[in-house]
Amino acid sequence: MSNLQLFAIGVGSLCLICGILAVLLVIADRYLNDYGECKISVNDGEKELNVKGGSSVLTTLKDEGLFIPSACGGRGSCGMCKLQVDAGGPPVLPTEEPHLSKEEMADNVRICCQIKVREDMEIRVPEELFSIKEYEGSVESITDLNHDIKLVRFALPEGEELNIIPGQYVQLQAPKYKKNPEPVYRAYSVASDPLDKTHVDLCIRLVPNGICTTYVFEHMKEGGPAVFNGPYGDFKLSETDKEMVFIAGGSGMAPFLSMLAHMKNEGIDRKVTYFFGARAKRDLICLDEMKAFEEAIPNFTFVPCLSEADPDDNWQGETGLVTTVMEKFFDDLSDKEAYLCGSPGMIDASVVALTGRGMKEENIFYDKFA
Amino acid sequence: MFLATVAQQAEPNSFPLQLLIIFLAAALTDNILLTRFLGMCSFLAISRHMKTSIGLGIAVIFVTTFTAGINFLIYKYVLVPLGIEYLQLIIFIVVIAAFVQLVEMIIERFSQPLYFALGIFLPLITVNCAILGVSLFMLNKQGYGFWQSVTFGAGSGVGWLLAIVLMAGIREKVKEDKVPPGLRGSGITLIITGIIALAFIGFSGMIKF
Amino acid sequence: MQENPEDKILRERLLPGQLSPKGFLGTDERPVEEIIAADQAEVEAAGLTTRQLGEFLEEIHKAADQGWESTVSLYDGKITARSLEVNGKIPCPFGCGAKCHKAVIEVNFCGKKLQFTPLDAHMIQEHGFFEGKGSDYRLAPKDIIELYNCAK
Repeated sequence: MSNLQLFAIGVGSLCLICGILAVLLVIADRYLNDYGECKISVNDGEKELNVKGGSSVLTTLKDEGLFIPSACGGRGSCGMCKLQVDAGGPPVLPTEEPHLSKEEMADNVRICCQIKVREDMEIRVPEELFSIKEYEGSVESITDLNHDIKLVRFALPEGEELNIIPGQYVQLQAPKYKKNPEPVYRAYSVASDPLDKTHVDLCIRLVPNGICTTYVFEHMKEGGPAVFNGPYGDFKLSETDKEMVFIAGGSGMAPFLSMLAHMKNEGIDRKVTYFFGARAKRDLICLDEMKAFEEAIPNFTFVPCLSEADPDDNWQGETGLVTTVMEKFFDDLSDKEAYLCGSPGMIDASVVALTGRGMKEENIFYDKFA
Repeated sequence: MFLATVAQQAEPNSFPLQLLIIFLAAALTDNILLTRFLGMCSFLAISRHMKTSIGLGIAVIFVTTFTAGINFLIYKYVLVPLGIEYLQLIIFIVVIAAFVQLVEMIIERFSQPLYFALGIFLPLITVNCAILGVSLFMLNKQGYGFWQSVTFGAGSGVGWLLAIVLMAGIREKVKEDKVPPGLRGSGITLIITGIIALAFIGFSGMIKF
Repeated sequence: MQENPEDKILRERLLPGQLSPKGFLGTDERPVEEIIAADQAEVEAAGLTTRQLGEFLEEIHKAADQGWESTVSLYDGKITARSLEVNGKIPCPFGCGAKCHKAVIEVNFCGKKLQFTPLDAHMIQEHGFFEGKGSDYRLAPKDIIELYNCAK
């Protein structure tokens, strides 16, 4: 055999073997990735969707018109698109792990952008998601409440309305900007009057390096666009006549502004005492609004407490930690309700103080920054 | 010693015994990792944790066993008849890569738990020189048929698993110890590997075939 | 050298975009293991452990949280701290299942300033990780050691 023939045999058979293997892989891929038609049953058959398998649950549902909030667009980084998958889901994937607690895993909660539709599935979507919408509104005004809290008023797009229950929150989007490579969402309680359905007020406090707050403080302009979705949350006034205690400091005032406006509108005359904790006078916000509410709501008292008042504040009011002041006001809380808004540390401390005065835990409602 | 005695007592040419000897030789005396230092990169990277070590080890056993068989068949029925044995290196690599890909796809499709236990290691294995080494070495052994080759592959895989599990065990212990800063990480691991390798070479001193 | 799949998952979580838009590694290109080892050596040289430092930061966080967004004095007024908490939790990138609240705790001590997040406190305590150099929330071990010595 000549060298040429040897060469041809060598190259030819090599190519042939590689070719056969490549074809084999392509065929296998085609066959293995075909999941056919799958049936997704939502909330015990409330809805039956017939979909083509193979893509993620998030995009599949989106194509079927079911909007699951997601901030990262399905890359598994935000962990927002949680829903319960009762059947047809694979075991928890490593990409989901960091976002799920043990209880959630036990409840079959999954990050739905990470799991593919591979077979018939049974999923459970919270009712509230059906009423959640995304709004592309605009910034109407930005007001400084104090040195680091701003009240931002957003206008909804023309012709759209947002119905909130006082105490609920919305997710505000911080779009891409210089230091922020991708849009992110942050939750803020709605502070506006629930009757005003075309505006949303949010109290936003500057957090150093915080992506969304930096955006609001440095880049947001009056008249500029704003994207938010909601409403979420089940923090709301109970339907009893019990006397109420509100506790919140700083930007935690937001849901109470909305609740007080609601009480004013509806003429609810339950007795309310609002304890507002701050360090010095310059940390206090919305004093005028509170005065107005005190005049409009007969049984409402606003009690600001300063923990370390400056000498030149000329402070006449209550001093000390908010929990101590509250204890001074009430000896027995067993027949009252408490509403709290703030970080878990603040809430835990208040719950201890409240139950110490005889309040029942089931009568304490809070918007624990979760 | 034990092996030698068994080998003397039993019928020298019995087939199962021959397979057993091939298996043990591949796993212990001729351990592909410790006597030939093949598959070092994944060995060094993965041996930090026992769990991943076992996962990777099992994946290696699986792949060496099957690729040894497939490559033997390809060698005997394709390369030899065509007279292109000199292409074995390239062909074996391609076959291993394709096989690993295929297995990965199949596992992913049919068993997600298995995929996350084993599948994530498969891409590492595609380029693991120990796998290619097994396929090439088995051709050097005299008179290996199909079953001998498969056994050799399985034995080498088990040997690899053994070595990485030993290493992981030692590293989990070393983690708590005070190692000089310059030796932390790969440095101390290589030294330990050398010492284990010496012990394994002791095995081959024990038995002579 | 090949990368352990577990390390790969961890590194990807630490990079920008997975859990935090800016990531945890900053401009640091060393392997995570090396970052941890280097910081750990520094802490140990000062006669402390990373666990101690992490627990100490957690203590400050807990105490500052009681201030309802205003500043509180701690350790007999030797340091003052303020906790700015926002809605939301961030999972620990090491996959240990812990979730930390999103917050920034501002600390003033001995004429200096420091900021840290509850996640930092957790990562230092449990994983000895101070974040990579050039990251917004990188905490230099020497600063925390200084804070520790100032308070105690």
